[in-house]
Amino acid sequence: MTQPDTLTVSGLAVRYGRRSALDGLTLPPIAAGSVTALVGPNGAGKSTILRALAQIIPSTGPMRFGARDLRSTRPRHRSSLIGFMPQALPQGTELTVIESLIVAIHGAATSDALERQAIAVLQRLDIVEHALSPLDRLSGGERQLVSLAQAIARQPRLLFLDEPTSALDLARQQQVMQQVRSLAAEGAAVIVVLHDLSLAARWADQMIVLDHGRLYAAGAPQDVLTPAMLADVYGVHARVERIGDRVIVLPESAVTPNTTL
Amino acid sequence: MSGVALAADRATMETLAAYARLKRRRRILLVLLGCAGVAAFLLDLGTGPASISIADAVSALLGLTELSHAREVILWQVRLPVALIAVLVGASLSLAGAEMQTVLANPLAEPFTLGISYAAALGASLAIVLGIGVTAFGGPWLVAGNAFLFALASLLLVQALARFTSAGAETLILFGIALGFAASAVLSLIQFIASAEALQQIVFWSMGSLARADWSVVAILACVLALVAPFSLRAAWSLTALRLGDERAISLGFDTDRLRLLALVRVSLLAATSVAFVGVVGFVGLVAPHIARMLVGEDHRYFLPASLLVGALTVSAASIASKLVVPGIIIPIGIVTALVGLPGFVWLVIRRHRRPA
Repeated sequence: MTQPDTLTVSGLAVRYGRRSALDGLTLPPIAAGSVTALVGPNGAGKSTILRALAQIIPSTGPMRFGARDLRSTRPRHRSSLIGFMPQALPQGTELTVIESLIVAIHGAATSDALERQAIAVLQRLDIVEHALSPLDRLSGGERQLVSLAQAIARQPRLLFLDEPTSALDLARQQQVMQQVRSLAAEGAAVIVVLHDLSLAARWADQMIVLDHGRLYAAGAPQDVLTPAMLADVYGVHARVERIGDRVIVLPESAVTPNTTL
Repeated sequence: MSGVALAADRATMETLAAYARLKRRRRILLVLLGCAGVAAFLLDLGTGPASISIADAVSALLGLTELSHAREVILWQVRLPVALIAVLVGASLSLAGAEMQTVLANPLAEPFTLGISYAAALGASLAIVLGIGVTAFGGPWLVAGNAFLFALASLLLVQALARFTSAGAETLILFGIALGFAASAVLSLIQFIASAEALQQIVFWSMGSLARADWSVVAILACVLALVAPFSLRAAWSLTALRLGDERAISLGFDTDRLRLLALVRVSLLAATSVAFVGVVGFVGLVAPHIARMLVGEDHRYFLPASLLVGALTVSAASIASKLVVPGIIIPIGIVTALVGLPGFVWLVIRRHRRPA
């Protein structure tokens, strides 16, 4: 078997007007078949990185997947290669769930296959019973699942998910992360932004910790998650417990209470 | 096959069938809207101070019966162009409104949101009061041509400003409102210095009215709609994708900036033409797309044609009402659509407010 394709990103820079959001960030290689959790406090630049990788916002710096230069890939091809799940979900639309998927797949499948493929994705995420509901009538969690369905509808090889579990209950969180794992097992390279560090440790192969737009640490979850890192990056005193091969983060208190509100 | 796979297969078949039913229902609704539009058009033909019934009108149009000369003239030179213009203006404004609401991601947008009505009125009054025009034609063409160019220029200016500042849809709307205020201020200035006669002309011009209808106007409106509508319908997929949010649309490979620009150019053409010849027919571009959306949803393959048909039907109905409210007098249609549309607008705002977040 050949070496799996790897996403390599170096010197990634993003500017919002005059403000520099990311200044030459280099990520560790992200292999197809693996799940990488991107973590860090609010404003650390997690969403910016995902948007830049998905080429939603302009950025500079080399970005390759295997032998392919992602920057010179045409938008139409790119959309079949990269699946992106934004944090924000569309508001106030009468579009039905199945229509939203059909439009997401359109162009990547023949018109006969469109509807079947859309339904297959809904079945995979166990939301097929909502197929004909307008997006607006769904609960927050259901809409998040639909958004994930849209991201994976074209069976992309690179998957960038921005907080896919933030509105989900416990069971749905595990279900979504299981899906993320099985997508990786099918050969996708997945980067997922998560706030729940224990959840990240449970499901990710690799963890990247960001702080103020810089790479603070990267590696296996059990190596990265330390009380020192949590105090330094998140500003919390926390215990890190190991139960078997699981790592669980138990936050106790802020490092400097009542000063940085 | 395992039980799970069988169940999944059955769910697939059921969902496919349910979606097929939904699509069929939408197609039937489109056909019904078309029929209702034709009915309203015929009713519009058969309504008016002169006694020409629908049956008379239809058989005369088909060349089956001869009407008296006077009634023949009324039918061909008044009733028919007015009825056609009602259909064309309704279709144009509603299609423009539908595209506008989608690309600005704002359910309260309509073609006149971006200050275009004031700009057109300003252009018209310059021609009326000062005889200043930018077209080589005289008389009513000068007024209409001026109104068209001012309307188009205002929309392009707003878009240029928004692009220059790389601002979003909300800023575009605010620029439009600002421009509308500016045009309105200059308009007041012109009205202040205008003679009583010119002032009256300006006021009548500003009220949307189908009374200026003649065959050349029919031809122009029909050409613009025939030119623009196919491009709108071709953009149906991309416009639907835009409803999933900008980030999603971009990640699906759509060029959202280009999509917005082209849609706004189409809207500008439709709205500027209609305001130039008919004046401001408000609320149609706002309310008709909402009715269409409630009927067929937001898949733009159905939504755009439905908007077009609902718009045509609405203005036809307004045209009939404008002849019936006060017998013997035809009220300017802009007044009718505003009076009927305003409650619709309020209802939309309340409904929007009540919708759970």
